[in-house]
Parts: sequence; C-alpha cells; structure tokens
Amino acid sequence: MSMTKPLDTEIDPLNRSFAAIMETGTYIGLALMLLFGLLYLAGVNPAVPGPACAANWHLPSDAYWEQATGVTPHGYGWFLGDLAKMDNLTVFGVVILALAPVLSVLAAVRHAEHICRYLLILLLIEFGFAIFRPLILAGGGH
Amino acid sequence: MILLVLFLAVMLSGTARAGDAAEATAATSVFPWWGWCIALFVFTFVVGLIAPVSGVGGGVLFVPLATALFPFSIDFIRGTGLVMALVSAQSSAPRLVRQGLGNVRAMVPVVVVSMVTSVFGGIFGLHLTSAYPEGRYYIILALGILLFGIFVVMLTSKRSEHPDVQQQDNLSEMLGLCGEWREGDAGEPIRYKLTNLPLGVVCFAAVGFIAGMFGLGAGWANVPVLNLIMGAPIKIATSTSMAIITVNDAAAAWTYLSKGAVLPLIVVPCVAGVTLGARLGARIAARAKPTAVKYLVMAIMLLAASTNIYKGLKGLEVL
Repeated sequence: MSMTKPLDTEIDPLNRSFAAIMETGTYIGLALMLLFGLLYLAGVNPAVPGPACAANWHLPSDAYWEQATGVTPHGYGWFLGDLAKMDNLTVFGVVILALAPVLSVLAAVRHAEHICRYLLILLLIEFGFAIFRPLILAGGGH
Repeated sequence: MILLVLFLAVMLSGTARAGDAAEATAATSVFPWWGWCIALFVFTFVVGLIAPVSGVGGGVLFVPLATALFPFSIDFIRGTGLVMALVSAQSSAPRLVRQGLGNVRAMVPVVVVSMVTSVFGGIFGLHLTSAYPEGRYYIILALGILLFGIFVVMLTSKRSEHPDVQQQDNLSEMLGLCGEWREGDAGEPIRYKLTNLPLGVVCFAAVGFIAGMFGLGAGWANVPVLNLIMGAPIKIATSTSMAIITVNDAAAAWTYLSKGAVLPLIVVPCVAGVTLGARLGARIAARAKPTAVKYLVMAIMLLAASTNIYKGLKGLEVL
C-alpha cells in the first residue's frame, strides 16, 4: 500500500464506502427494530407475550427459553423460524444492525490494496466464523 | 425521532393495559412488566444524557448499574448492553469516518485480532452463567472489579492531544497507518502517523475479550491504547475507537443472538432511551461543565463497582 498521501484532505475511498454502507444498514436495522419493537410492546402478535417474558427474565438465557417456550435456542431458528411475530421481527432488526459492519467491510475490500485487502478478507472470514459458528457447533439446531 | 416519539406514546398507553400484565409479573416483582419497560426507558435516557457530557460510553454505565438495579438475568443485560453499544457506535462512526477522523486502515489490523477475542469473550461469559450455578456471581464480581479498573484508568490516564510520533514501527509503516484531517472547513490539514502496532494489537486482543464477555463498548480502553500507545491524536483515537466498536460488537452480537440473550422487551426501551438521551446530551455537552459531570459519573461508577463486588461476594457466600 502506498504511504504517500495527497496534500489536500481527500477522503480515502475505502473510508467513504465503509461509512456509506454502515449508515444505510444502521438506519434500516434501527427503524425495523424500533418499529416492530413498538408493535410488540403494544401487544401485537408476540411469540413470547410481555407477561410471560417478565415472569422468566430473571433466569439465565437457556433456562428462560426452556421455561417460556420449552425450547433451548442454539442458532437463529428461535426467531427466524417465525418472522410473523413482532418480537422475532424486532430481533431481525438487530440482525440487520449486526450485518451492517460485515457489509461495510465487504464494500471496503474493493478500495483496499495489498496487505490491507488481505486483512479485510480475513476480517470477512472471521465474521463468517462468528455468524456460522453457533450453527455448526450446535448442529444447526433451534 | 418519529419512532422514538411513538415509543413514548405506546409506553404511556401501556398503563391502560395494566390489568392484562399484572398477574404474570406479580410473581417476580412489585412492578408490572410495562412498569419495568418505562423504568428502563427513563434509566437509559438519563444514561444517554450524561454519557456524551462525561465522555463515558453508555454501555459502561448501563451494564453494571442495570445489574445492580434491575431484576433481569445478567445474560440479557449484557446482550442489551452490546446492542446499545453497537447502535451508538454505528450511529456516529459513519460521520466520523467520512470526515477523515475515523481511520478504517488503522482499524483493520487491530480488529482482525480483537474480533476473534470478542467472540470468545461472549462465548466464555454465556457459558459461565449457563454451565455453573454460581457462574453469574463470578461474572458480577468480575464486572465490579473491571468497573473499579475503569475508574482507576479514568482517574489516572492523561490524554495527549497530538502525540509526536518520530518514527513508525515497520508494521505500521508497511500498512500505511497515517492520515490527515482538518480543524473546520478552512483549517490547515493536520497530519499524523501511528506506531507501536504489535503492542497495540496485544492490548486490543485483551480489550476485545472483555468487551465480548461483559457486553461493553470498551471505548474507555480503546482510546488510551490508540492515543497513548499507538500515538493517534485524541480526535483520531476517539473516532477510530467508534469504528473498532462497530466491528467487535457486531461479531460478539451473533453469540448473544444465537443463545437467545437478546430480549426485545429489554432491548427496545433501552435503545430508544439511550438514543434519545444521547441526542439531547450532545446538545447539553456544549454548555455543561464536563469536569463536574465526569466526577459525578466516576462517583456513580465507584458505587456500581462496590455494589457489584458486594453482590458477587455475597452470592459466592464469601460474605
């Protein structure tokens, strides 16, 4: 990668594309999360109704789900399995938020050179590990 | 903003639904479930309000205080803290990166390592509470000790506005870790370069593990490492730290999502509260006396640290 920098403050295209994708992803994720979250809090079509949630929220996550739904989540099936429910759609908004940096790194790859590009690709592989590890190690279960 | 106003309206209309909810919540608390949601909203609004004035991230205040004050499992508190840190970092990082203050090239080599450690931090933290009955008390105790450590860092660390980096290490030079920004539209470009990348990477590996394990944003640690060890000017350090948090916390968030540790009933009031509070806090920050607020926040942190250490030791039957 070149070490020389232009004399005026030109914004690095890598920075620009990283920022643009992250901004869009954040707006979409936040809007989805708050919109469906409001509907959930208003009692519209919940997977786990508010009172049932509150009765168990003092338990560790595994025990909570065991009590609230009879199933222990391992992976993403617990909310992706029924996206008609407002609380599951709220969590889907969080998924969009967590995907925004992945897509930003992906967008930055084409503007990077040499070692920086390899490191960005390595970062994408690590993101893949973070996302798919729970599915692989838990046998893809719900 | 419209969504946030809508949120307030739904929260207030929730009082009309008290009858439906009361029966299920009576078993666990004196509040109905919607009462806890309102309390969370108010609490995170205040956290969001004072965070920009004090210079402390919202997550650092939220996780220990919510652990001490609210009846939720620490799994859900950490999951919520992580989502709050993610939203707040992702909301500000794009603008800072576009202004040249956040440096993505400087972010990349450190997050390649810290992302892995943050994922394992999340796995370790959730495993500890699920696999061992007393695990949650170890986490609460460790959180109290960590918070005490953050208090000491805030009390003792000195910031360097523009560190003078004479020579870059080979790795930093090879990766081109340098840049420039302008103070205002008409200002002269200010150039900087980073150094000590290998030591910085080791520090970020530890910070990533702690951030993933406790659901914190970890700006309190990122900024001193970038500023004092790697020689980034303070503005570059705070902005690049935001970019680092987006990647680290996004990676750790998948662990919490896969374990069902993200509860909409807790997350939504918190994100709405902290977002609205931070917007107002940013305006107040321009007029407030930051030193006084900083000391107030440090006092709150010390209190939260003591409470968590006490709760942890009591849970482990040491006290």
